[in-house]
Amino acid sequence: MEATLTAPTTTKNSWNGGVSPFKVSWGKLMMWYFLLGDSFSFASFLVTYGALRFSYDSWPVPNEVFKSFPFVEHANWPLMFVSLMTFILIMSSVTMVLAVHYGNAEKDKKKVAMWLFFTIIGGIAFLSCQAWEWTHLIGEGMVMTSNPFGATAFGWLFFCITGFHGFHVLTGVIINCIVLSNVTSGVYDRKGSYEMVEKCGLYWHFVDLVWVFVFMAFYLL
Amino acid sequence: MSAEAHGNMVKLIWRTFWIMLILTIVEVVAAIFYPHDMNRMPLNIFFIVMSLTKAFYIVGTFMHLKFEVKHLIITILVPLILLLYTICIFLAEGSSWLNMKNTIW
Repeated sequence: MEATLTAPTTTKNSWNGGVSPFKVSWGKLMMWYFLLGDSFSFASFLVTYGALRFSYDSWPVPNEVFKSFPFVEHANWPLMFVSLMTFILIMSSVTMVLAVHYGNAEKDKKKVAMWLFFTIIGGIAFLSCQAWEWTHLIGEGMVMTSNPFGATAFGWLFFCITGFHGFHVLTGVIINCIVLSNVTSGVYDRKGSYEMVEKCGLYWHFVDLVWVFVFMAFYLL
Repeated sequence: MSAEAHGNMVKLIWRTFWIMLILTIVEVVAAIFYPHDMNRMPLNIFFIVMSLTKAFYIVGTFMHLKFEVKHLIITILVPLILLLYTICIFLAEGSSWLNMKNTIW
């Protein structure tokens, strides 16, 4: 039996430099870590909501607060409008995945542009719905400093948290518009990679993910 | 990407969409029709489980994390355990505030 001094390396050591250990580009990895940090920001707001809510004897009932619907006078449709908003955001996430997929798999400029455009429409639709919801609730008297439905904290927590989320949707829409203009003018064809669309896709899915939890906290629990 | 793999991915994307839609509809129906006089706890646990399921579909399939290198997945998911702990201790904190408000010293 021959003693070997050094073991033959049959697998590339991924931490010795020259390759990405996680097999992703720097930009994509940094987007993941930015989203991880941002999820802590949102989590801290939602945890504040939870802690404050647990410290109250009574809290507004979501089915009572959220029962209106645009263009329907005196609607008693609990949670219907927010369900529509959730559907719009999920749908825009699907169109975003398709845009990313066609960019990576086929590098098809037209398809990427089309699905990215639908994603932007979905984002604008969501923001419009949120704006209507805010206007309606403020019209009913729920504002930052008072709330006819019960605890004042419910009001300002709602506006602050959905506002912070809506701000993320807005910046997502703006970034998607910029990337759409880049796609149509052929920037990523010249670059050879549609990875920027994928990175924006990660941000957009994060926005959808946060909404899943905001929706759960304010409207379901 | 081969034509077959491409078709499979598109099918997976739409399948995930239908799962998300059905989960959301089930959640909303449960929220509206759950009897008011029953204990809320089972319903809340149901919502949390449903939302976590949706989260796993978004992060795993839409954000593609399921298909990434295992150690990348770990660096993303392990810090979120800290979040889980934070949620638990702050809910306990909130309950403690309520107890202090309601106790006559």
